[in-house]
Amino acid sequence: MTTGVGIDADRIAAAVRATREVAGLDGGRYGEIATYLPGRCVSGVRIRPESVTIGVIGRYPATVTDIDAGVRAAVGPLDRPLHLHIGDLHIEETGPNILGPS
Amino acid sequence: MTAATRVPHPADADDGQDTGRGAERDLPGRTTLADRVVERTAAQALTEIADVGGTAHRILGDTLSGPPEERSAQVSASVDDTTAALNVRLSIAYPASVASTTHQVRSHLTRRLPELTGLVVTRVDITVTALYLAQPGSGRVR
Repeated sequence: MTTGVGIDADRIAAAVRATREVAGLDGGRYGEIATYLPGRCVSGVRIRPESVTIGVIGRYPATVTDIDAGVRAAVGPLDRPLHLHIGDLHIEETGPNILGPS
Repeated sequence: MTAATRVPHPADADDGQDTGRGAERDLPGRTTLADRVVERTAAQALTEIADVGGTAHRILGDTLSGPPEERSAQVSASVDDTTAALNVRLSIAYPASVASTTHQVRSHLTRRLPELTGLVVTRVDITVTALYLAQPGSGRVR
């Protein structure tokens, strides 16, 4: 939960990473989705006064709607709009196959 | 692989995720997709069709090794606000009809992509790059 103006980027990153539909965080094409903290950087979460942006790698076969709902549920209510960017999809090599057993 | 695109939330997202949906309604935010997500989704959806090159589960781009039926189809997508136009390069197993298989590819993609990404497919351009002979015993379906 947020207190005052501060939003904990680490908490958001951990919550999103734990989401079933998400394979990982994604910093965007140029690494522009990131939060810079003293001495380190949380990639995939950007907190601005007007909005929060989260970049994720989805886990196929989760649909965009699933990923969206999962991330927003994991983050919980915020005091500003939450933008979600799905930058890539992670596809398991051994998914359900219509072919018989190899 | 380029610009992210705005995707509206389907209003009828049902079952169970009420907290997220509620938060979204209070403070709306955008959900955007990279083109690559659409391309991978489409390539993956193509593996669900018989007789199309790329029935094995491989990630897009890893197409230089293995027989045609184990490669991924190559998809490039140009995504506009709520729609996607696809350019697909695939191969077809030899005795299968090219016309009916490509027809199947089009109808499958226009049905599956909206399910998976919420984007409407406006156009599917298909290039059939090869007709491959299904290896007896290895590529047999059921």
